[in-house]
Amino acid sequence: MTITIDMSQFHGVFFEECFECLDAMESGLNTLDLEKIDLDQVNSIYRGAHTIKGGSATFGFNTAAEYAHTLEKQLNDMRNGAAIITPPIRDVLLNVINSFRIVITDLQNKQDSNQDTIKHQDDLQAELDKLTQA
Amino acid sequence: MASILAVDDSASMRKMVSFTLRAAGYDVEEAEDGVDALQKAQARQFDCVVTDVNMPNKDGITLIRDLRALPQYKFIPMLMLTTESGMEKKMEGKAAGATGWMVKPFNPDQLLKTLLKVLG
Repeated sequence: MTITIDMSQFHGVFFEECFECLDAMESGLNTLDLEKIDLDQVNSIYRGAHTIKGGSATFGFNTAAEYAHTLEKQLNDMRNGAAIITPPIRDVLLNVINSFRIVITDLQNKQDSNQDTIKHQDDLQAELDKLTQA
Repeated sequence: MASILAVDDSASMRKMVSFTLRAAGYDVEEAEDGVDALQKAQARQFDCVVTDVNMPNKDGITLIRDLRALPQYKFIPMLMLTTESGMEKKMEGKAAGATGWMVKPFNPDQLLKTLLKVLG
């Protein structure tokens, strides 16, 4: 059985969900006690990136899917205890989330993110890589 | 037509799966996590369960394990639809009682073909 489905009818719900996930991730990071990490809280933050990745890949938003995938991997290391969350790492994660909002807003407005946004996001991800591997 | 319980904490994914299944004629009910799904599965008998893995409150693998412990769901097909592609998670799902495993990105045709196979 083959059914043709216009996936664009779900874009609105997906963008709304992305912003909700990013807000929840931001709030989770801001309230995270770095002295006594609550793994359930880190898992919730991870789940936000996981949801954005799954939806972005399904809708063919490949750049967003790649960013979410990288972020998900880093958060996965944090929830598994393979990487620790320091104040500088939290700051970069918050910046990544802010930058991600611009990427999603661009998708919502049916436009490609400009080079500055992409470079900024790439730089933040690279900085996060460097900090988490240090 | 068979009744299906579609479980995913992602609203967009849940709506896409439900839309696809309804378009194919299935009777679909949605649940937003494992706890919600378990309650709905006990309130009504479904012919199949399609669930995400990573969800808050109760994940998909625990949901399948809990459903398999209920006599009325012992032999009901249960499919996992997830971005998790690791063998370890698959084995965990299989051990819990999952009938099949589909990796996202979500593909409507793949889901329908798999359902036809497991529902006979």
